[in-house]
Amino acid sequence: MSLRSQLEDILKEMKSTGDVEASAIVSRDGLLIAADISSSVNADAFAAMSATMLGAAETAMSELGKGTPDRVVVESPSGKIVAMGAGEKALLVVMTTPKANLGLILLQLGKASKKIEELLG
Amino acid sequence: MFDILVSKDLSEMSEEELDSSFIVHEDGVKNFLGRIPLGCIYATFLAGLYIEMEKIVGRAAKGLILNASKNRGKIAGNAIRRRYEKKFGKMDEEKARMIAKNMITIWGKCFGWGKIKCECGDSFRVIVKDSLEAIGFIKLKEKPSHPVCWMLLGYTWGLLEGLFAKKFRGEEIKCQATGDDACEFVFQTVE
Repeated sequence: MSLRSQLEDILKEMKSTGDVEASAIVSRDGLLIAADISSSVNADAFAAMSATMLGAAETAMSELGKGTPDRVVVESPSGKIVAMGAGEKALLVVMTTPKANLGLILLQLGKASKKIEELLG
Repeated sequence: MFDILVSKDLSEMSEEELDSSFIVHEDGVKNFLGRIPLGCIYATFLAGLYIEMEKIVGRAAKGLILNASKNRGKIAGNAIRRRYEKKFGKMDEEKARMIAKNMITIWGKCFGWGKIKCECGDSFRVIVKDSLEAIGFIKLKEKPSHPVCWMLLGYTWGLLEGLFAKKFRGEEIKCQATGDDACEFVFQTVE
């Protein structure tokens, strides 16, 4: 099975939980690696924005002497975006429904991120 | 001016010939194609800008510049294709390749983005000696661990997608800023 297929399987698994509407694996420099996103969304821009959010949060935390953030969570009445590092090379980002159970989502994100980190080395 | 851009290969034209064909000097302002004002930027400012962006958003700075440049390149490519097709009919791939080559030649010889050479075969290969982005890092005595010609990569990538109306994959595989002799970009259509 190719690396791309394995990464896509991780995203499919995330979606099967029900509350995940879209997900993407993005390189730390903001380029799309794999995505499960509606064609109406500009996936390249989404990738760049996600990496920027996490990168800016990392700088802010580091400047304040608070270490590295585990994740960035953005909430709106229409849904949530969660971005989490997946090793040195990538990050995982998901969009969820507004009612999604954040605890459960974070648990799944953590497991998925570890798998991605192992796959990308 | 547009007719010259789309009618012949400009890659062998000198800087002076290209300048007199595409740049109009008016009231102390240089205008590309007679209507788009041009300005200069020093290479170390551009490289410094990237370094400062990396301090703020980390490695994501590349994605921001690359995607923004790609979008603008695509808008330029689409506009050229639409204008061409309105005047001359459907643009074939050979014509799209030549216009892309011409636009990149103009970026190099008129806008000062480096000594640019294009090789068009199965893939579109662009080799740039003294790229404005790379040379800025060299002048600042910064040696990045990764290629840094994000704007040139993004613009060319988007330009190709706009002109060919196809998805491409692009990468900077060599960069003078990291120690290579020249910068090299490869673009391939996505199946």
